[in-house]
Order: sequence, then structure tokens, then C-alpha cells
Amino acid sequence: MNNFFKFTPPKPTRPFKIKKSPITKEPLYDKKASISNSLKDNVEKMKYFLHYPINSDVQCREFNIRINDVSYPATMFFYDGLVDSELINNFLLRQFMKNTNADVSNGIKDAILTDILAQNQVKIKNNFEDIISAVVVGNCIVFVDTLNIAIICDTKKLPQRAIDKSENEMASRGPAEAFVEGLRNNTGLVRKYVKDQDLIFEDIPIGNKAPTTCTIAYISSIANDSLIQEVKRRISSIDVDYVLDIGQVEQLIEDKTYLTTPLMLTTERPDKVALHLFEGRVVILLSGSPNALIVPAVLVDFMHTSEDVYLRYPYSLFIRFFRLPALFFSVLLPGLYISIVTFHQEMIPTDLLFAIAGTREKVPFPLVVELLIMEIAFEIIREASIRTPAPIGPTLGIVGTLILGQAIVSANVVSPILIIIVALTGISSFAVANFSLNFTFRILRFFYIFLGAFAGFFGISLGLILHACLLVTTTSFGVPYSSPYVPINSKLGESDLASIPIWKQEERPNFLKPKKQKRQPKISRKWIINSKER
Amino acid sequence: MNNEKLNVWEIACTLSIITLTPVILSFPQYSAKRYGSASVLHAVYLSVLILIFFSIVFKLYKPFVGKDILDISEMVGGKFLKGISGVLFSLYLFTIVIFTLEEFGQNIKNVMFTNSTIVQINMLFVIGMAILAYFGIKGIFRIGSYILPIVVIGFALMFISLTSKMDLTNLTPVLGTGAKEIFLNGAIELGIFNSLFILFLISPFLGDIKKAGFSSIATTSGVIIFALFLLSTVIPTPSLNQKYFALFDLTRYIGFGRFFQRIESIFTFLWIIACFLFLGSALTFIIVMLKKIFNWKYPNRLIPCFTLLILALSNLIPNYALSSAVRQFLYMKVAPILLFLYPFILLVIARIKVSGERVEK
Repeated sequence: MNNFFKFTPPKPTRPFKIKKSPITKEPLYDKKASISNSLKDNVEKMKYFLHYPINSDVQCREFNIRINDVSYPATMFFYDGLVDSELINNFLLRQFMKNTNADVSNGIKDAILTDILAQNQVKIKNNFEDIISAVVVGNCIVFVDTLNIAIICDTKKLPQRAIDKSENEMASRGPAEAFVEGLRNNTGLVRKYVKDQDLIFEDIPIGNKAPTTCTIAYISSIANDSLIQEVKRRISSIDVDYVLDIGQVEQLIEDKTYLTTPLMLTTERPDKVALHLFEGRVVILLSGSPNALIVPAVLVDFMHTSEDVYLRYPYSLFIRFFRLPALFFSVLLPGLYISIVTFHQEMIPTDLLFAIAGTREKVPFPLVVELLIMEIAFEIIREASIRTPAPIGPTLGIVGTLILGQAIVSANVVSPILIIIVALTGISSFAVANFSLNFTFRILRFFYIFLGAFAGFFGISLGLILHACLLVTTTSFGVPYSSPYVPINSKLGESDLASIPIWKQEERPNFLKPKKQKRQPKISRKWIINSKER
Repeated sequence: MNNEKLNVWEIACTLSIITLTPVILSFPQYSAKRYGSASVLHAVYLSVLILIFFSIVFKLYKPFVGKDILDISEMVGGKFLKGISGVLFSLYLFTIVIFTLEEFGQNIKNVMFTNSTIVQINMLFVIGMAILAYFGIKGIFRIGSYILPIVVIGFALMFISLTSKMDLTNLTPVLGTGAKEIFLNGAIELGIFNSLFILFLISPFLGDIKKAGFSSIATTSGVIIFALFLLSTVIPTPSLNQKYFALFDLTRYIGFGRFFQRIESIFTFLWIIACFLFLGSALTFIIVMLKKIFNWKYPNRLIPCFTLLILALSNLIPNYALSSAVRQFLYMKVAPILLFLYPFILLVIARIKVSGERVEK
């Protein structure tokens, strides 16, 4: 009774806590096992491997194959959503289920393959491992009673977007198509540009848990054999559970992980891939990735854009010429500014020196803090503008750059001249053609700011020499990264800082050691000779 | 696919940089003081001498392609002589590095960081030196091939900008302090080209030592003569005699209109890069030689030890005058004997030995 009047607080409910999973039991069936003659047996194993019926998109369709009025029980497995249902209904099930007068004297297997199946791509496999890797990519598997094989029919219809314009590598001249996620679409696009029977696509699966097809493309009559072997060696030795994008493959096969500079070219343009294939490089494509990797890559390659080769010589020379100062400003301008203003004031003309000193008069921070505030703000604005939804992007740009810039100067947090420096640096970084190289410069800029603030030109020269040393000792798939300039290489091909007229590009870059050095004869414009003869 | 050998351009550029960097420090003043208006003529004379000397040496070296000077020492006197030679060469380089580092540091302190201590400046130098040494011979030589063209362009710009200030009468009297002084006593200054000795250390990395050697001599001599010509024509010999870091002072004369009035810092910028290269390569060669003598498996692990030792010893030098005097002594007195005469004798004996073996066969 006492307890009746006494308040007892409710017992706290036991909070949910994730438990440690029990150690996975030994699998019931071995994937490497061979297919048996018993349909029941095979179906049971397949259901176990594909987690049927828990797995809702796995379809198991039982039916009878009718040949000469005799029924043969069969079962079909496929993943709904990965296959073309119409194809399965009209060209598999309909064909199997209607009574045919096929010749079974050579066995039912031959009868199915030669008389019944109206399919262009059919494979026969006799172990579960191969079958499973086929069904997960959208194929349809058929087991027939009494046959110790499985028939794999190509019924893939993966959900994917249509081929569209390149968004990250825009060009005013040249083809506009870009890769999509479908591997075969991408190989088709490459073959569309490289109409050469020597173009080879070799498939290597990557991933133990979920194998993804990785394709190595090269022109066998041009690309160096040792380069091809090295690419194959690196890719086939990758031992990971899965890869989803080519960016992960890049990280798994690159020569130096901690180097900020990219060691492989990434592109979404099939025409760029084609150009590099013709030079003797190797291209790596991955199923599900809309980008291709081009190897080996040298530093100069990152400074070119896709349209450089399509533009007339004077134009491409002109734009390449302006990319160099952009590159210089992008990396070194803030560092040099801080060096000159802090340590080498004598370099600044007197009038300008007074102007700089006047604008900095009311700023309470040291120059390095001022510069870091602006650079960090710029990086944040840039990152935010990429992440924000497209309609808000321009607003963010206006708020970030104009309003914030104006306010920060009015509040005397930074001097106006610094806004010019940071803006010029930022704009220059956008002129750098490659996305990865752009990243590199953004990182290095901070490095040079610290060195400049610490020891002026002394610090910058220390940074430059170490950076240069790092670049000249780096290799990308055995090719010196600073080629064709260090070591000096007379045959530059397209890998030149300056542009070469197309009729002068007689040789492929010899740092690639291609099988065919000559790209075109010395006189590729034969009409010139004809004109002279006239 | 990697290019294993160093090419002629890389060698010529880097050796020129390594030779010129310390020479530029004090040689112009020294030369002006000793030979007066004939300093350019003296440099030309030294260039001819070094060319003749190396022509003979390359002839002697012919049967030993792919072998460095330590291998040749081993051929002559077995492992003992190889060890002795290696230690002597390393010791010379080690001493040169210590005194040059101090001299570099003092110069930078005077022209750039008057408020910093010499230890702080030297520390920055040795950081660069150690990291460069980690990259090894190939890294250094490939970097050199970038830097020399920049230096040469710098000199060319200096020449263009100083044309109006040049006075060719500064080169007269042509024989300066006298023919005997230039052609007889002056021959000992062949030591300024001591870095060319490195050719015999990197010979295993070379394709054609003769081509590489002559290209290096031509480039080095060319730049020295050009630097002295600029100096002598712009600054009269008596004033040059008083200068502290003459080439730096020369850059102070440069000016383009109202905007580019003082651009000497750019010269310092280029010169510091060259200093890093000099120090880095010297440490690399010390490590390479000691590795070869003592069969070290992991020589790079000793780079920090050597770096700290060099920094510590350079800090023991009390003043600039001493470091300059010792370096001068090493260049003028030790280098001609140790780096030119000694290898020459080794080559002669080795050649005789090889010829004897051939006759026996």
C-alpha cells in the first residue's frame, strides 16, 4: 500500500544501440562451384547467391521450353531495372515458350542456341562466379534442366542519361559531345573518332565485392608496349572491394599521392581522348564514370585546352601565350606582392610606394593576415558557389565578391590594393585550363604566401627550387613529368608550350617512345608542291 | 621509358651554375684588384688554359669511359687509394661548403636581411641544401638546365640596360698590371674552374664526357668573361676594387624610366636559387663519394647529420673576412693541386697501367 502512494519515476526505456554483428557464417554454397545437371539445385543456389526473395529487384521466372511438343523446365534470373523487359518478353520468353520443331539430334543445348534464341550476344558459362558477375551488370541467365551450363543473354538496358554537351571543358570550336556513364557508349564515342582497326579496348574488372569493368584503350600500332603493359599491371593489381568512379582509379594507380600536381589527364571529351590516342598514349575508361584518364601526362599537357588544336595557329599561339602569365599570377602573385611590400620595398616606384603605404595606413593587420583573410574568403566564396543550387549561384557571387569586397575595404580590414591582387590572382586561376591543375595552384599559392611573408625573395626562391626539383624528379608512368623540356626532347608534338602549325606536327612526342614516330610526312600539304609546279 | 643518362645541356648548364655561383661572390673584385683593367683578358687566358688542360685530360680519360675518378683511383692504387682519394675530395667539398655557406649568408644578410642573424639565414640555406640533396644528382642537374637560361637572360637584360653606362676605355691599358702578372702568376687561378672536376664524379651518368666537358667549359668561361666585361666597363677598376659584392652593386645601376628604378632584388633572387643549387650539389657529391667508399646502403639517412654539421661549423667562423680568405686559399692553392693535378697524375698512371696490360695481352 505504501508503494501505491509513493512516486516511482518511470523506468527509462532501453536506448537503441547498434550491436556488433555476429561473425558471418561460412557460406552455404561456394561461388566457384560448377553448375550441376539439376535445375532445382542450380535455382536454389542462384536464389541463395542473389538473396532471393529478400532482394526485391531480383526476378526469377520459371517456364518450359517446348521443342517438338516436349517440355524442358527452365528458369531465368535477371535484375529488374537493369534489363530491357521488352527484349526479354519478345525475344527470350516468347521464343522459348512457343513450340518449335528444332533439331535436337545434337542435344538440347545446340537446339536452343542455333534454332530458338533470337539473340545477338549469347555466352555459355559453367560456374556460378561468372554467372553472378554477368547478371549484376544487366544480363539475363537461363538454366535449363539436364544442362550443366547457364546461358547468358545480353539484355542490358541500364538507366543512363543521353549523350550531352561537355559542361566542364567547353570549347567554341571542335566537337561538343561528352562522355556519359555507360561504358559502351563511351567506347562507341571514342571509336567514332578513331576509325582505326588497331584501336583496342581491353577490359579488366576492378573490385572484389562489386567488380566494375575498367577498359584500357590504345592504338596497338602506335602506343608503346611497355606503357600498355605497365597500365595493365597497375590496374589488374588493384585489390579493393569496389570503385565507383575513374577518380578512385586515378588515386589507386598514380605514381605519387602527396604531390599536388596531377599526374594523369582527366577529360570528358571523346575528341581529346582520340587526339591523345593518336599520339601514342593509353586511355582508361570505367563503367559508370563520365570521365576518361589519359596516361602518361606531362606538365605541359595540363596547360592546353581541347580547342587549341582546332583553332588556327595564330589564335592558339595567342591564347597559349596569355595562359603563361595567368599561370604565373595564379601561383606567385600574392607571394611576390607580400615579399616586395615587406622585404623589397626599394623595387616599388616611389609614387606607388606612397600609394600603397597610404591605403594600408588605417589597416590594423599585418600584410600577411590581410592577404590570408582575403584568400580564405575567396576560397570560401568559390567553394560555396559550386555547392549552392544554380539559381542562387550568381546572387552568391555578387554578394560574395562585390558587397563583401566593398564592405571589407570600407571597414579598413584590408587595403584596396590587396583586393586588386587577390582578384587578379583569382581571375588568373580560372584561365588555367585544367581543373586539377587549378587545385594545385590554389594550394601552392598559400605555400608561397607563407614563404614570401617569412623570407621575401629568399623564401620564394627556396620554394621555387624545391618545387622545380620535385617536378623534374617526378614521373608519370615512366615518363619524366617535366618532358619535353627537362630532359630536353627535340620532338615535342602537341606537347609544347607554344603552338605549332598543324602541318609542322610531323612527329609524335618522342618522350612517349611510340612505335610510329612519324605522324605525317614532311610535306603534308601536297597542294603546295602542285601549286609551285603550275 | 625513363631517360637514364644526363644530357649535355643539363651538364653544361648545371656545372656552369655551380662554378659561377661562388666565383661571382668575390672573384670580380679580386681580379680587378690584381689585374686592373686586364681582368677580362685574364679571364679569357684562364678559359684558354682550362680548355687546353681538359683537352689533355679527356684524351687520357678515353679508355675509362663510364668510370668515375674513384674507380680510376682504385685501378691505380687499389681500395686504399680509392678511399684516400674519396676522403680527400669529400673533405675539400665539405670545407668549401662550410665557408661558402658562411659567405653566402653574410652577403644575403648585408643586402637583404640586415635585422636577421646569420644563423637564421644559414638555416634557410641548409634546409634547401638538404632537400636538394635528397633529390639526388639527376634532380639537381635537371633543375640546373632550367636555371642557367634564366641567369643568362638576366645577364643579357643587364647588358642591354647597362649599355648606356658602359665605357670601353675602362678596359685600357689592355695588359693591366702587367703581362707577367696575368700570364705567369695568374695561371694559378685556374682554381676558379674547380667545379668542373665534378665531371669526373658524374661520368657514369654521362653519355659523352668530352662533349659535356667542352660545353661546360664554354658556357662557364662565357658567363665569367661576360660578367667581368660588364663589371669592368661599367665600374672603373679603382672603384671596383672597393666594392663588397660587385655584381650586386652593378645591378643597382640598372633603371628603366620612373617605374623600374631599383631591381637589384631580382638579381639576388636569381643568385639565391643558384646558391641553393651549388650547396645542394656539393652535399650530394659528398654523400655520393662517401657512399661509394664505405658502401653505405642508405646514404640519404646521413643528409640531416651532414647538414647540421655544416650549419654548426659555418657558425663557428667568426667573420666574413676569414671565410672569404679561406675560400680564396682553397680555390687558389688547394684546388689546382687536389682537383686538377692529382686527378691528372692518377689518369696518367692509370693510362700507363692500361697500356701495359694491353702489351702483356
